[in-house]
Amino acid sequence: MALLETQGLSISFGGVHAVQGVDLQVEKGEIFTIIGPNGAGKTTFFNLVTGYYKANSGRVIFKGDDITHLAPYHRTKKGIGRSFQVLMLFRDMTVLDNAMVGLHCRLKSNLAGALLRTSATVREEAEGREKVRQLLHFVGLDGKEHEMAKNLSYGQQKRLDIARALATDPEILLLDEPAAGLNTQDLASLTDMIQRIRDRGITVLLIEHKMDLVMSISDRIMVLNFGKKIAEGTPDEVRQNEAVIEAYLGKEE
Amino acid sequence: MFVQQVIQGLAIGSVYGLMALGYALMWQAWAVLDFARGEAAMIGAFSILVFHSFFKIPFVAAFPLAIATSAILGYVIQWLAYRPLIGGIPINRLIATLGMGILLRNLARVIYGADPYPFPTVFGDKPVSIGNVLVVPQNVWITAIGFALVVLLRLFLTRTYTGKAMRAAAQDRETAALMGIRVKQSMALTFVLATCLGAIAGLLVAPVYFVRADMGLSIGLRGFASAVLGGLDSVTGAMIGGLLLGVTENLAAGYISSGYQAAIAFSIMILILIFRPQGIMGRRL
Amino acid sequence: MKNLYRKYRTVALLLLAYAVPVLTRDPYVLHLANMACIFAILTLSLNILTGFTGQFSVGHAAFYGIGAYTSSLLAVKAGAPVWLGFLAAPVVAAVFGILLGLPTLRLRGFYLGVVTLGFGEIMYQVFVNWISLTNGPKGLTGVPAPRIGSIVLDTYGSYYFLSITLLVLTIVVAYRLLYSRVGRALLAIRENETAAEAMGINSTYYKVMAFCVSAALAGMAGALYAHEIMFVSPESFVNAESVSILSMMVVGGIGSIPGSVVGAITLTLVPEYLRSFGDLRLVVYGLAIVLMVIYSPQGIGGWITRVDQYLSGTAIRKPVRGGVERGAA
Repeated sequence: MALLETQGLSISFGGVHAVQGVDLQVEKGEIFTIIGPNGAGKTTFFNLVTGYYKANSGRVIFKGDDITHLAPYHRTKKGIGRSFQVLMLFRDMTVLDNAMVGLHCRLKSNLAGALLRTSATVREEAEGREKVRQLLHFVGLDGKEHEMAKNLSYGQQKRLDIARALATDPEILLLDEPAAGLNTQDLASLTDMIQRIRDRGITVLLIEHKMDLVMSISDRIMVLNFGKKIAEGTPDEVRQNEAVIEAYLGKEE
Repeated sequence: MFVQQVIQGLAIGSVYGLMALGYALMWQAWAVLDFARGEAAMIGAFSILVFHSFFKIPFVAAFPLAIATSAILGYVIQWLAYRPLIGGIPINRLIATLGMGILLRNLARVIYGADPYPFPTVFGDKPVSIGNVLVVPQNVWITAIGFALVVLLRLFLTRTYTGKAMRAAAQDRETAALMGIRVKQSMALTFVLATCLGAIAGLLVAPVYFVRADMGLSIGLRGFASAVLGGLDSVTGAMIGGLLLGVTENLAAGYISSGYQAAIAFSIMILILIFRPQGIMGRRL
Repeated sequence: MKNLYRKYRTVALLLLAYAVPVLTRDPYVLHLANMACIFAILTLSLNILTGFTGQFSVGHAAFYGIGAYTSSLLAVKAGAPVWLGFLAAPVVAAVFGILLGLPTLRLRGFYLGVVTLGFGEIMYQVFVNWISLTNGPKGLTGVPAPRIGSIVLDTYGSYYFLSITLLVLTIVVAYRLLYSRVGRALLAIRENETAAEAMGINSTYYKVMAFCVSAALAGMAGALYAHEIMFVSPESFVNAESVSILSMMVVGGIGSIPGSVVGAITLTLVPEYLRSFGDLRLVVYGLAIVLMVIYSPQGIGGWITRVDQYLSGTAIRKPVRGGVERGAA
């Protein structure tokens, strides 16, 4: 059974078929990448999987459950984490708090616990902070805990975005163009980081434009064009696919 | 009874509509919910009071004088309290308008005292019967002037260069600036225009409600509600919102209870908002 | 010196706060002290909603009024013990808070603002017109003073101990809320609702919760007010009062807990001491608000944070926004 599956997923905006009948199966433990020209519907597809858009037709199945109608926050709880193409950090909160927010759905303390400051709450907070510190270390943001998110460099903000998503303890992590705007050095550490994320047992679903990154780390690739899947397979298969070369690779390289 | 209530509602509603236009203009050009908007009506009413009642200038001459005074005051106000906050946090702009409202209201109280001034009717308050309906000429005039102003404003915004520039600046400040539109000037102009509309609303209701320092509170609140009802991004919507609120208020007063007039109007407004959050004429959010 | 400051600042402030009735016997001053506490609670309650959660409210006086009428009516009409009223006031206000919070499912920002404004207006009219219950514009008289054992809190001085205790309680609630999982969720919603949802936060639930907590605290302030002046009338809960609370929050600094307290105290006391200036004092008041947002948008809270950081020698404690800081709690 696939970890994440979509069946005939479709959505249109004002008559434009942004995503049309996309079938996808992501297996546990792989790095699966979606590529395609700008406007091919990649981010829209992500928004359908994470619940920000409601599909016109088709289904999203996660771990065997139909989650097509669940709210975004509910999908996060179920184990779908995401980063954003356009950074959406909590700018006026500290790095530590940003990541702690990510931990939200894995913590239990409620209003009463917070107000009474019960021992369970205090313990949970301490454990949470420890966990988050490890995650910040994992993405290389040690020592930045008390910086405001908005004061980080762009590359650091991108990493915080990933740390925050990791804190939601996902089984699958959706990364939307994590390499966009990064310099060569940050790019190298990102490549490494994505592999280390997979090594933690987290499945990665990636949208990316940087072809060398895609080809070097992806187990499988799906190519979207005009909202439709035009190809799927290993990097080698995709590289040799006529339709892909025509639609995408041929023009770009 | 019903028709009379509706006519009265349309009259006060078109005053609300004028106020609402001010809110809509301010919302579009300044992206602020202007809590000092009602004070424009107060300024207009006191201006006409001073020129017409104190200086005994005939109404036809006092009217443009009052509008001009309001326009000048409007310019000064936006320069003092609004312009320094362009580009700041929205809530700060909003608070500045709250502060400006308090300032203006109480300045008027310091100058004119807290007691209401009666204002002579200009359009006639003796009911005339048409068929079996009693119509107060004043109400007809108010409604007619309100409608005429909406049409004029629409023409101004869509047909003249200045109007188009104002809309462009409201939609996208940076692009407008690149196109050579003087954005701050355009915003100031919008402010003055909104103030004039408010002033006209104020002097239209002066004979009905008297002139008083805190008159801006209730008329401003209702204008605001109308603007939201109609959709803050639509000129026509603002007027429709005003008429709807005016008629509803009057019908509620006539058929249910005059004490709960505003409560009923606001309840309906809240319900409409919940089912149509972008207002009646607004674009979808 | 710095350690000393860090260690004792809270205790010193508490001592000073509780010593007010010892420092002055003037009933007028003590009444003002009570009012300052009441408005500080109201400002904090609004700050939880607007400053922490980013939900705009311009009808906060409605919750204040609901609380005041709830506890007064219980005491005057039902003859219930005063303390029951103090418990019932926040509960009833919270129920209204939840009802008012529900439109947040569909409405955002200023559109929500207009709903709260309308709600304030509606509640005011209910207080004025439901004469059989509220006695209308004439108000309810004979609201009893609370008693602790045999001590009746019927002087402004003795009542002050109740006021300051409830204020301290509110401050503790605000701090504990802010630095908890729940508080982080509220801040996250304020900062970016889309991202908050992606973190597994049910934003509707937390927004309604913010309304509920905020309304409950405002309702408590209402009860505190009613039993202080032993009289309630609709005029205390007009929309202008909501605007005052909003101004206090802004002058204090949006999102700042100490700022809320200082802002409320300042804007309660200053107009009183300017009474001899008549209406001119309100002109100054308005002008002060305008100047404040233009020249010191972080409010008094921003200054407090800076002074606090200087005195305690901590630079790590950075303001969240408008000076939410990690001091004092």
